[in-house]
Amino acid sequence: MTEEIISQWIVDTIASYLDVSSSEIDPLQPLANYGIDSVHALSLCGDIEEKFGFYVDPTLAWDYPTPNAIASFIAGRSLSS
Amino acid sequence: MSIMDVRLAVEALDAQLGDPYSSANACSWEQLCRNDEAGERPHEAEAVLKEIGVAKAFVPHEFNGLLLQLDRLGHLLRAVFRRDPALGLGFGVTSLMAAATIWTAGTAEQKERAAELLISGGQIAVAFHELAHGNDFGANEVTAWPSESGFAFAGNKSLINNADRAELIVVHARTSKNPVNHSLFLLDRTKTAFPAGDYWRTVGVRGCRLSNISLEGVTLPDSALIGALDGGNSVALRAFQVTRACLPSMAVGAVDTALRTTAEFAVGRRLYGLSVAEMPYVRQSLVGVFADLVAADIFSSTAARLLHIEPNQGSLYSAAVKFLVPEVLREDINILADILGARFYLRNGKHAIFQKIMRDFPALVIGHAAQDVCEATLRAQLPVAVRMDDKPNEALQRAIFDWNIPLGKFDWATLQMGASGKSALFAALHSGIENRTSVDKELGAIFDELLDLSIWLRSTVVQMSPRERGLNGSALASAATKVYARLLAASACINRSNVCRSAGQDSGSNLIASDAWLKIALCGILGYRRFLHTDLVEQLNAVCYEEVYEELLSRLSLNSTFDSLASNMLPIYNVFSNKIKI
Repeated sequence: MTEEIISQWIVDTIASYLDVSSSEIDPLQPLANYGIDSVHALSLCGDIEEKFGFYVDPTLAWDYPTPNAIASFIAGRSLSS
Repeated sequence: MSIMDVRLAVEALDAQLGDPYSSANACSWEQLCRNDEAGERPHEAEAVLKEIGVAKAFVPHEFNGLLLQLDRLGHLLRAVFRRDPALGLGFGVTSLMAAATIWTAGTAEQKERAAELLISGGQIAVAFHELAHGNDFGANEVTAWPSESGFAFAGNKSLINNADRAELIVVHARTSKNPVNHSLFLLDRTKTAFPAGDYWRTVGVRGCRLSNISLEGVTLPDSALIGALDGGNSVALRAFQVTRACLPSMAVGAVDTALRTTAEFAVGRRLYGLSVAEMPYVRQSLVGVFADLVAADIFSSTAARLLHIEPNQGSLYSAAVKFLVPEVLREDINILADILGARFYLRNGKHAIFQKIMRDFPALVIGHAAQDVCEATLRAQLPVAVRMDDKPNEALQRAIFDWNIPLGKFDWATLQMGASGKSALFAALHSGIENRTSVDKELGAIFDELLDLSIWLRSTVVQMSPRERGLNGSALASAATKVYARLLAASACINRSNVCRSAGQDSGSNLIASDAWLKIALCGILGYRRFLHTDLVEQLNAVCYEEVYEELLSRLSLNSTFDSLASNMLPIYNVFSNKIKI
């Protein structure tokens, strides 16, 4: 899965959390700007595990603040595992 | 170490704490009530704990301590909580919380220093709390920033137990503007002076000394940092899973004494021509509390074992135990107070320890993650919480529920902040029910209720949006969380009962193996006994209550504890002379 596809998946997932259209989420903007809180972060960890099969800490959304940054991290993690 | 060995270790500790009924004894209920009346630390009782070396139980084996298995830590410290919850908190539990962060992320030097201090009878304070933020430690404002000699600090901590005397203090401080980035520091009082403020006066746990700490102008060297810079919240969220699972297990001891005091009263007191204990309401209440106490022991011990076996689900199990067990036990204390009548608030006489426990216990409910925090932790992770395998691994289940299977030393590095993978305990609800043999009509009806709830929970969670699970989430998510915690408790009880049934070992196991106890305990977990007088409760016939009541009377007369160990509180000989093994 390419970084671009992963990033789109993250955008779609976050959009579904916030009940907004995917076009309203910019993959280059920090998720914090959209009101992502610790509960969303925990939900994202669960969804990433379901989708990609590995656990990530809920601090992920702060360590890699944008959808593109998270996608890059996940792509790297997928390759190494 | 088998369960029999754990029982002997607890009896050895009780022998050294001495007769709880003898007023001359420092660790007697009368003396501990006198300390409480005077609003002073129970110095003599603390000296006894120090002499015995109880704090070794908090220290991992590799640092000359006795801590290997977390479930056994709960069982052992319960003996101290049976004497006095404030003694347990003041002498030890906050030190254990602080030490847990060091065992999780500290350097070898920090671990050695902490171990040495605890073994010598000293305290480590845990300085997280700020009045403005409570359990929301991500919002804490005490700040640390790099300075020429390490880190400089500004701000104040509030309500810190043992801040006036602890030689080491674990301090939580903001090191970045980012809300997830705080750090932990180990402050060594022998090297860095700082003032502790006046004591806060409290209604309960009056033997503990809570005070504020001013960190204005304090500087600490780089070597004081525990774990990575900005990694403090991650360390705390992992380390506190251990203490959140163990504290409720210890708290069972306080309710043991409350039940003992009430049962002694009810058996001895005559009203309207019969003993109070002969009245059906009283008898059913005593039996209900007894059944809850055993269930609380089993659930918290199971969670502690699961931290070894399934650490990836630790954030769920520890939150579920801290969420459910203290609250149920607090309700039980209120039920016992109804039986004691006017005596529940007498501050002297032979029932005085009861009112002390009643005042002390809320500190165990609200302290170290209150109900709402635990609920939020569970609610946010409900989709992971209900993941399960259709066919649970049998060897795994045996390791969880057969307490004679040793787990080896606990590996603190395995804990993770959030939950992942699948839940063996949740899946075991189904397999535990399937594996039960000769299920009668009443038990079958209870099992059907549990299975229906589990199906409801899974289908409800699937349809729930993250927003509903949020901090200001829906009432439905809140209800689902309660059901989840109760189903885990039911799973632990059913499976432990099945193991005791197949093994058929001794008096503690015989009770747990019985259908009578299991039915009453499960009705308690389902909330039926107190709130909903459904057909199920009607069907719990008198025979069930009589059977469990006989066991209660037997333990009362033998001075045996009411928990799953049924250890003797007044052992006539000390099997290990002056050495505790755990």
